[in-house]
Amino acid sequence: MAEHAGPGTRSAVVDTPPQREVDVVVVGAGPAGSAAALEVARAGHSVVLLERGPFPGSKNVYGGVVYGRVLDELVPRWWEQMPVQRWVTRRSTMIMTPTQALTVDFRTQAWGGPPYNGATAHRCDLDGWLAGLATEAGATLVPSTVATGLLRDASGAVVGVRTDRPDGDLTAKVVIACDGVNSFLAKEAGMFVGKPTGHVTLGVKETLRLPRNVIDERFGVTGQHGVDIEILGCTRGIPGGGFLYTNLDSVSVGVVVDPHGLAAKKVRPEELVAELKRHPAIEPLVRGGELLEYSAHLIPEGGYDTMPELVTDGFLVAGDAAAMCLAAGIWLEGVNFAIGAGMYAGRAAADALAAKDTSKSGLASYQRMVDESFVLGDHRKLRRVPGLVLGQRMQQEYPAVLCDLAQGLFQVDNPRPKPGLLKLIRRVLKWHGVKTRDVLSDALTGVRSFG
Amino acid sequence: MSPGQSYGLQAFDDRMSTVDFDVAERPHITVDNDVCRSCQTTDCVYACPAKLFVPTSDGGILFNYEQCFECGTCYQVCSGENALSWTYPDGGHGVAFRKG
Amino acid sequence: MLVVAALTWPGPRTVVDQLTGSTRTEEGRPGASAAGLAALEHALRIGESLGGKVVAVTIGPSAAEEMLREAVAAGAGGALRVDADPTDDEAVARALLAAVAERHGTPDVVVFGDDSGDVPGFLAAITDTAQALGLLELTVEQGVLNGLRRLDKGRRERLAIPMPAVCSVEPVLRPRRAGLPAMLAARNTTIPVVKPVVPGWTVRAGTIRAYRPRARILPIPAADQARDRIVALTNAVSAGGSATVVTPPDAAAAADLLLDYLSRHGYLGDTT
Repeated sequence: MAEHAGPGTRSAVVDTPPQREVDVVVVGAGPAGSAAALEVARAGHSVVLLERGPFPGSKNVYGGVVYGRVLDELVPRWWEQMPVQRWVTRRSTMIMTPTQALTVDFRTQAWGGPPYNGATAHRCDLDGWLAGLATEAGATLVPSTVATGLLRDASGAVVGVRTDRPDGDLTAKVVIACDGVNSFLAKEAGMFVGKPTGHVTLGVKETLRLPRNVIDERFGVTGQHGVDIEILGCTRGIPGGGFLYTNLDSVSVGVVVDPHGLAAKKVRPEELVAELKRHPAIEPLVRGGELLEYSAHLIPEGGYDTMPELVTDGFLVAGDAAAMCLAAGIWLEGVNFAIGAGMYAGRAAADALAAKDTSKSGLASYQRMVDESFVLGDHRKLRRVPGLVLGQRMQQEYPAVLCDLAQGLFQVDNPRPKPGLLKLIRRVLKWHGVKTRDVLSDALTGVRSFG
Repeated sequence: MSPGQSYGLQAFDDRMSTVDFDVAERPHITVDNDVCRSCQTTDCVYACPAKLFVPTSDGGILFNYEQCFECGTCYQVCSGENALSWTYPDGGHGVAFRKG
Repeated sequence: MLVVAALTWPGPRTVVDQLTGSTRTEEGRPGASAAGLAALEHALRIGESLGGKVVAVTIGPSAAEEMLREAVAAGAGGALRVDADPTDDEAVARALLAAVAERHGTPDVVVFGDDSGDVPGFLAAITDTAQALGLLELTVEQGVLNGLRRLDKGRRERLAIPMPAVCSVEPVLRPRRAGLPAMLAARNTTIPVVKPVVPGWTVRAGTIRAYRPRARILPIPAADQARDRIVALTNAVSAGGSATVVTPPDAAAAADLLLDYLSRHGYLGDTT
């Protein structure tokens, strides 16, 4: 067995320990892990929460918005204590070509007050808060500790984890793997066997400091209200997209791209961010921002079809480790799914402990709970969307088609009369060599998924 | 800097200097140059967000683990058989994002 | 035998924008610095060699308890968080000393990281103990503390340090890694908090006035014209101008010349 966590780790087979040191070990103190540990601790079981970074959130990066509705079930009036940068009251979707931008912009004051909708936050604050809730409930957080592999008994059931600390084996009745997108533990447990290779995208982000009043003016918000913009067409045709959102006195801007596409286009990710920052529609928003931090992370975007098995004997998988990220064009969510899945995993573990059966069948309630909830409900419903959004037409042709269509509609070509909309659509599609048949097929997929 | 000024693309070193690292003694990722020399794709050179993979004149790859984001991109894009030995750094070491 | 590892809790740090030179402060990375961790490791080794108790101490907010728990997990026999907001390095030294004395008694060895400013120096002065600062090595040989320190031009000096002593070390030693059972045990340890009463220093500030030399009363010169009287009083045109060129061999001689000139002309009053 390797003494470091990575691909190709193998489990250590141990004699069935007569007594486990703890009831539950949760690997990874991100949103999924902390929610799981919180639920287990609340049920009165002993739980150890391992974190490989020096503090929770130190290894985490995301694309901006955490949707807190799922927290209603965990923390009453969570909005009064969550470390929030700004509450998102303006949601925009921007479609761009190098010289054009078409924006659908929605604003509601309803999201700026209780019970709120989405918020921007820094991950070290957010994850630290969630982990703090778990430790207050009785969970034991152990930072700076890497789980390097699983401990299994002769029958193959997971009976604990091995860590990189001296005397680092920790036996447990249930191990909940919330170890993030690379999820070496879930791979080691064989949860991905027979699944298509998970599709991951690379997110890179720049956080730029701007005075609070400048942000308020540029983005048209006041107080603690903020903006989240999702962008399509800013990645030179490499499958992916961009984002821009406001923190209290900084903005974060970045792109999410297929890492294989970068070499094909001979472009580096930070060059795409720089290009996005120079775009005429974005430059006035980020102008003069001083770089506070450059960061990057992988995102599991494969959707429902690439998700691993979630339950085996003594072992559950939740969060990014189970590919529970929704990157479906107008929706970009992950933290909420992680919290939901972690919460259900924690409950299932607690139920199994109470029933004294932590085998696969004893833990099966986790699968049922995520199946019946939004966690897998949304993913099942939107299973075709990643293919649609990251597909070639959506990435390379539709942004230009839509922008040209808007330009054709709004451009005044006197003395020529205004073109009819259908004629304009046909003309623009022909310019870009897009077949009407494909458009209709994509529209149908979209309607089926989103409808 | 007052709003209204803007500067060109900043040097990559300045970009990386905004990130906190607690560098471990053990290189958590190592590269087998014998494999790299026979590789034509060089996906890692473009994809690694920390620009840690630098092609050398003899067709190999110069790799430095110290400013690694531990994201796993190189491990995802690398097509070479066992060209990378990839692990997480030991607990507490490596990158620590503050604005993630 | 009491060995104290004094860890520094990182305060806000100043960041300079390299393009514009504008500055701002931001939170430091929470946790012990490399030098602080080296100090802890040295303290643990000294404690093992001399059979003493090792206590990790820091002045900081409750967030600093995390760092102290890790010190306990690594082998410190005790930890102490000092809840104080000292204004200068001397006050830091006094607060540390008061807190340790209250809980554990007088320390025999205190080890700091070399990022502790003037605190070790003040502590040694206050307690009238030996100090050995900026050490590369700090070991115990036959019951005696030995230090190695850098000198200019690549030279080194080896110090035999009598106890009690205050030392600071460079971040050359990596700390040991606490075992998992010790980490788990330390999670439930409550870190004692001490609020020492430290007599602060007050500097009495008065109003600021411009320097006014004492007036000298001179007899009125015998002259008819006002201009002549002024010339006589100020000596303005006599001796063909007032410039005197002197070429003192060094700064001390120049100062002597200046003082001599000033006192000769009555500006300094009686200097004897």
